[in-house]
Amino acid sequence: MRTSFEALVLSILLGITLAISLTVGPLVTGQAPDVTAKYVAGNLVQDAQTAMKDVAVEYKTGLTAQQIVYPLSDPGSAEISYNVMHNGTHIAFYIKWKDETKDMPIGDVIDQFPDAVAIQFPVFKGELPYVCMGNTQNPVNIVMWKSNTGAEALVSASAYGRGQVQREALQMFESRTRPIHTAPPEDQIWYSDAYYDNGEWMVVLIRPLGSTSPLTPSLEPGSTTSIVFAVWDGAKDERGGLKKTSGWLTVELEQAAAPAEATTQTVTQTSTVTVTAPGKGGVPGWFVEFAVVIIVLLALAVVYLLARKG
Amino acid sequence: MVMVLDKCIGCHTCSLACKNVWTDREGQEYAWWNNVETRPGVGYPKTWENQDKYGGGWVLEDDKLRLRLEKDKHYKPPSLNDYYNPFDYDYEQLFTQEILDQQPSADPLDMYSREKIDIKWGPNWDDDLAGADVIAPHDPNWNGIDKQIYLNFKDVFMFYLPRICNHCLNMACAPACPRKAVYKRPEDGIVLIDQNSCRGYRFCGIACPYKKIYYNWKTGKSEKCIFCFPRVETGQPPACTLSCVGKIRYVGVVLYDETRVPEAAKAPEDQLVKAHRELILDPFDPQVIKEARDAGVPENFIKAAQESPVYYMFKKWELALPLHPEFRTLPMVFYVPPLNPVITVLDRNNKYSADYNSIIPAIDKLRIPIRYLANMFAAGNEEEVRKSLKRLLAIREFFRRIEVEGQSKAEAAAVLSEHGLTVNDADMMYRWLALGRNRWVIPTSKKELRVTLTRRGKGPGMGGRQRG
Repeated sequence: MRTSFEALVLSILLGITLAISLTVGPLVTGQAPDVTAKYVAGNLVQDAQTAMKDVAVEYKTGLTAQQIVYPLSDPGSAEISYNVMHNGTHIAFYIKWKDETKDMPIGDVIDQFPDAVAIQFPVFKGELPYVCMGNTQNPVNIVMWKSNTGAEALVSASAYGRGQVQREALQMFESRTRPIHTAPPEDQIWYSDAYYDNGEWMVVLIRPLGSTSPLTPSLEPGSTTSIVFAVWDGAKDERGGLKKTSGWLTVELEQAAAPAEATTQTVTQTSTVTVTAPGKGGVPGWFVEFAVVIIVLLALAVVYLLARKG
Repeated sequence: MVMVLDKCIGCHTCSLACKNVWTDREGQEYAWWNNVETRPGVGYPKTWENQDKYGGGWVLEDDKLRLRLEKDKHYKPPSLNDYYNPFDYDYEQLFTQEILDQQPSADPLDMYSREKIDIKWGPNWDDDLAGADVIAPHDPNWNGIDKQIYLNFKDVFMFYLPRICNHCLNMACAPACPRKAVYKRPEDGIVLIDQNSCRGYRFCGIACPYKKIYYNWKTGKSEKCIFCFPRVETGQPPACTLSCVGKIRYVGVVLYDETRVPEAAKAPEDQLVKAHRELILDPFDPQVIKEARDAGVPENFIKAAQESPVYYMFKKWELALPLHPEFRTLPMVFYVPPLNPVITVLDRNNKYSADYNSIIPAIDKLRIPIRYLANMFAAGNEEEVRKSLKRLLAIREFFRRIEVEGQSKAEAAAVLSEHGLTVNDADMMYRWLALGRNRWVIPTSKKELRVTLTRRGKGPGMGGRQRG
């Protein structure tokens, strides 16, 4: 009898621990960055054709077909090569990937889809959002470039991909809102240029480091942020969830070596706004969650000991 | 909405009214939220009923409904080749052509490029059976029929099929949208696409088995018939209905049991029409009225449901049928199938007249094969079509006995009771179907309904369940 009671208590507490572990998700840690956004003095290369020739793509990341949420992609993978650099006022992403067909539906075309690439950022500092486009408590900021319409900033905030059962298991009881919004005009701060040659895209995405909008995270030299890449192949009718994505990658912005000068003509907003996740005060999210796990484990030990005594 | 197909004259006024009000703009040139097809024919887009090609609707597997699109995600949205290449005419030519013996002409122009084009197809290309020997064999509704017989000149038949979005109860478009941009308004059942949420993925367009969602290449978002909701909210009929020359369209409210929608959508194919009818509630039943009131349905909606031509034609008299119920979306636009043409025979005096003595037994000898109509309106269940056609003939016979043979109403009523109808039913049918009076009974809507109708259950509507 005592044995079965202990087993019951143990399984309940282990269940709670597991649920909490799943809920907290990945934490920002002090690990070495995956990518370093190098500081370069002067102008960032804005022209994609020039970038294809002159910008060395130092990093490679494998992308895998999105297989979590409806509609599921065909199994598959892709690889992007890229470089990230900043000049103290603006940050540039140079992204290159192979695509056998240049899919750029323009005009009265209703059955074709564009090639596209996107970079996802957390809106808040602290705990990283759910990799599949965030949730209402922890949204993401996305820049999506499409071959036919260029770059657009988006905000996604509802983990739409998780089914009701998954959401409840993860204590995500927030009401489902519109999963993705076009960001307001003040967040449309991205410059883009693209060039396709010999079965390969080069897309240049540049934005000011600073942001006046709470929906767009400010980036500062010396700080770290996280990104996720996604690409779509229009020839395969890829759109929405039919895509290939990376996991979260950490990007460290090198310190500026000298006082920054505005060197690109993208936008003029350069002021900085620091935003933290709502309701978490000054305590980092990961600390709270770590403490919860420890408390539960201690509770587990105490109950187990009491049960043995009884 | 109910459309009485015998009365449609194929004038396309409905399509033009809709076009002028809603889609006469860049990005929607090819889109006809309302279109009129000629049957037999392939329709618009071509062979839209062929779900092996287009991937629309639901599939019942192991007692579960799955989107056909979900089973095979490689279905593509229709192309302009499937619809048609929208064209205009170079009207300037009419004024600038040199004077010739023949009338001046205006060359067709591609609406996008404004270049001259050779027109090869249009949204009503098979109008009046034009080119039927080539086109009609590709109609997907020939299943179980020796179509060659009906393509012979003396046996050929035709009727018009006007189509709008069916504002289905068990929409396939809404669950197909990963962005949850498609929704059904609980207050009146109108299905809309939130243009702020739509990202132009076109899953909805593939999932809609009626191909009534149109991608706007200019805005990059999908659009559809909005049932003229700004008009409906103020008690006015949609533009297509108001403008209908043949007075074929009837609009009204029905009360239905929302909780039974999934069960009805899973009925066996030959029971789908019956299951659909069973969802519709009797607006005179005190229990239904009480529950509707409890659910926040306002009095003017309950009253409208009691006067609704849709309730009578679909539910009470079982005259109207849904278009392709086998798609399992429970469409809320219904069709009274056509008898056309009226059977005439040479009588003793060598004059053509209705063969009224055998008119009802001759139902299977009507020009349009029952099987064809059953394939289109009853998932192949011929009895549903026969029941509807027999009642349509019974009402004609009833009034013929009174007007031509001088029988009293009581005497003539025998033909009605034989088919489950009463004299009162016949009078109502006469007013609606023949005279075309009170074709729409539309209560004015209140924004507050959106707040009060929060619980699921018996809701008002020309549709009505909200998912998610």
